[in-house]
Amino acid sequence: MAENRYIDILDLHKSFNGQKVLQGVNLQIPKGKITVIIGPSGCGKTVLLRHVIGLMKPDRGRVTIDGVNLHALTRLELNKFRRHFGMLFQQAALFDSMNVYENVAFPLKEHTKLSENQIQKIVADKLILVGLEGIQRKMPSELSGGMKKRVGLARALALEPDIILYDEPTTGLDPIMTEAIDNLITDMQRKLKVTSVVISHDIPSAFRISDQIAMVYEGKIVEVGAPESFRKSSHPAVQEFLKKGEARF
Amino acid sequence: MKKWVNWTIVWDIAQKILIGLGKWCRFVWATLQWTFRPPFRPKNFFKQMEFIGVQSIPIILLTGLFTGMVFALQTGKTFSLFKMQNLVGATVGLALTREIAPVFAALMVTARACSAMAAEIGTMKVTEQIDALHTMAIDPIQYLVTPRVLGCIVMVPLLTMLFNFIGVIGAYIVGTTLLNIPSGPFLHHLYWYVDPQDVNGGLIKAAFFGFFIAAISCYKGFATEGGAEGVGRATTGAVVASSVTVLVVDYFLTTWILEYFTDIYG
Amino acid sequence: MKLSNEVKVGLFAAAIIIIITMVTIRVGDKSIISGGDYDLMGIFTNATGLYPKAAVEVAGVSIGVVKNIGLTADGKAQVTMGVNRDVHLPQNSRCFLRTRGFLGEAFVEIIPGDSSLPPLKDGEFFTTTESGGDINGMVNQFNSIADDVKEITHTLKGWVNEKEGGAIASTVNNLNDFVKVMRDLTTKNEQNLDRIVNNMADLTHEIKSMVQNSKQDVENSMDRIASITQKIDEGRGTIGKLVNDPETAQKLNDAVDSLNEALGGYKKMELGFGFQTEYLNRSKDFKNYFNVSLSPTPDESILLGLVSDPSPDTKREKRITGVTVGGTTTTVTTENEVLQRDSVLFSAQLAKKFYDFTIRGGIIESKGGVGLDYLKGPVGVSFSAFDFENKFNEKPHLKLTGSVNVTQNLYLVGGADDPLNPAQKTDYFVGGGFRLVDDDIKSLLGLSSMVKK
Repeated sequence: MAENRYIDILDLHKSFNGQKVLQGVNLQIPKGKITVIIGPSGCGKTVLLRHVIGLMKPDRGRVTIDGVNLHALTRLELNKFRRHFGMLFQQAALFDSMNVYENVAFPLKEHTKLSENQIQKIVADKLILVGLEGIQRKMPSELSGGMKKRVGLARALALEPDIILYDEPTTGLDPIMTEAIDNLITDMQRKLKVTSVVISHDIPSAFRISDQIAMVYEGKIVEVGAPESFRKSSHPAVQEFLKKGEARF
Repeated sequence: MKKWVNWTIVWDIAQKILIGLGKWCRFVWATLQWTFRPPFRPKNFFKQMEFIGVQSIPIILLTGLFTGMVFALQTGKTFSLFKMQNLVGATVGLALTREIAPVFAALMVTARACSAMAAEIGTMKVTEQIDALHTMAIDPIQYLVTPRVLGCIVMVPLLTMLFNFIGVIGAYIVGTTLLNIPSGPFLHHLYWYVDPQDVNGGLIKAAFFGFFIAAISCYKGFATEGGAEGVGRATTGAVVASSVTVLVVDYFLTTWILEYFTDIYG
Repeated sequence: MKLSNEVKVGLFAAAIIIIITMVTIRVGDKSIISGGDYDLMGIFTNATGLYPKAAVEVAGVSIGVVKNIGLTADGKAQVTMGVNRDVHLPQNSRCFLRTRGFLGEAFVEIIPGDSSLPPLKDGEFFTTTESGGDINGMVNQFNSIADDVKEITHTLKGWVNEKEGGAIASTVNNLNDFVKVMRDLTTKNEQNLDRIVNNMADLTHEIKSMVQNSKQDVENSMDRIASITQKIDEGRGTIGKLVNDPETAQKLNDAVDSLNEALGGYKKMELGFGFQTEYLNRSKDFKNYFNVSLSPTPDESILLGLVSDPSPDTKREKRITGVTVGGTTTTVTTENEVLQRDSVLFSAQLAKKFYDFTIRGGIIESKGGVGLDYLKGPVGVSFSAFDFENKFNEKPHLKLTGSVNVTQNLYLVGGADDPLNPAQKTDYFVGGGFRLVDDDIKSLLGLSSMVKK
């Protein structure tokens, strides 16, 4: 079933300075669905995500996307391949030196030959999409954390990628903003049919948005499945994590 | 028997130094590769040239003027012991063009622009902006480092030339007013002893300095880890390493330039 | 209007390009050879202080630059000079290493040869070259000058016993004039004047014979002086040597400073000789002066002199003696006056002229002293104070002299000597003298042709 194996992570190992972070991760991410990866802090979720987009090279194992081995690509091929990705960073990672318009327009200017007018139109569309109309002239420093994340999302969407990776999109946000972001993620998936991978340790929001949940624990995927089956997992770490996670709210 | 030298520690330190050097060389190599690969971004290049060069003009004018003045004053006092005040212009001119202007211009740019580079790139690193560039299929070295290195290579020599010019003006002012050197002999000796080779040698040195300070500062920025504190460390490290490198490289370049630029006139 | 980055960078770059162009034109303009040059070679035994880019001059006009200094197979310095294409130098042109000023930079001077000969071509060698001396040689030369001066004074002193010569007829005439004037002037001291006249007659007589007898000696001396003064005139010596050799620099710094001060960087050194005799009224004796003056500039000079003093100041000595009588020691202090007659005293002074005044200072009659001269037209007044030593309540020795020039070379003096001395009355004196400067000496000794060479 190629659909379910759109992103295929195989036996991924990674260690930093002798400390093993990933110890054989196996995960299949289906196309056009939202997969949420949860796990306690420091368990290697972010590291896993960075491997998926090729920011890190694994010690062992591989990541294939649509049958292409990401880590066998040359730098130039990888760069070409990355156009299929959009990534929303934990801190949004907007360029401080540019205003909102320039940030969102940046990938367009770099990778397309669109005219300035067309770019303006696309940027405006994307900003409407994330619910931030007319803030083109603002600098990132003038924005709140939630706004920054939404601008970051607009930028990630600018090139209309096939895959969007979210690195803790709701961390540090108030519940209202969290819900807004969650809605945004599901909207994107519904409207644009993109494949979404979300890193989170926010259990309720994970259950709200996901088509598939995976849990990373001690460098391995300990449980994976649709939200309903995931909740019934017999793994003690999963149960503990769910209990504590739900209890927070 | 007690061991006087702990070789494991020595080896660790040596290894760290070698790793740092190796990483820096790889970084420089990547920078060179990306310099000649499209897409070229003239806008970024000009932005950096404006930042490194045009915005450094006031500080170069200020330091250059005073360096020339102080230098003229000191050499004037010494030379008057031999009744050689007329040679002050030539001495200041030669010292400026060959040594002082390139080194000072490079140090000024290090202090003003390169610290900013390290801080800016360091901040981008710790706030994942560098990673963001990666995910947007843009090589951060090409996007951030190449224009800065090129900008420095182009701008430090230009600033050096400005330093030469204003320094000699400073020396002329002090020489003719405070030291009472007649302006004719002052200028005659200056023109006679300073050769285009001296000026060119200084400018070539300045270009090398520009390359080194930018490459080191950008590297330090890229190597930043650990939040705001790390950015501070990277900035300090960049300024220290760049300044020291300028002075060390200056010695070797001077030797080489003296070797290859002294065909006829010494 | 907000300028874009491109415009700002462009403006800056344009400004720098203008500066570079300006500077390049200025420093690159070795205008002497900018119209093209050709190479000439010179081989020197010693090229101390000469560096590439030094000037090449003919008659003080730059015609090229030293391009390269190499070594020949036999260990000599081979100097390559780039000379302006428009300057043609005959084949027997001579090539000298020179130094500008006492401490100036080294340069090459070319003295063109016969213009009838074909000119030197690119890459050809000068046949005649002469290396310059260094600072040590210079100092040695100074020493030999001192020796020569000593020799001359010695000889002149010995002149008081000899006979007749040829080239000093004019001096003899002058002296005759002087004697006439002296005779007309006075009847009171006829006896003394007779003695002066006799002395003068003897002196001139002896000068004549002296010149004849020791012509060879004098010629040698003058030859040396001439060659030395010529070298001084040209200001040989090297700044390079001085700066490069720290030891030399150290040793010579002070000497050089003071010399340089005295020489003032001028090339011309004027030499003067003088003889003056005074009849002292109280001592009833003659006091004779022999003076040499070296003037590097018109208003600065070094004055050297020998004085025969018939009535020198008395010297006092304090002697402390221990006398032991029966186990007790008593110290006895005795003061003695010592008088040494017919001693030869010497003077060495630095003089500086301000308008009509000349301030002198240094050693006067073997004692430290200062003096002030005033000279207006033919009339002069001069005042000296020396021998300030004051251990025994002595007063300084003062001397006040008035003088009148009779001719350019001859003059009369009169004045008061040592008015403050408590031991004796003021000594009034009259007398006369002659002084000769450079050209006079040359013509006197018939060596003008030699010196000018």
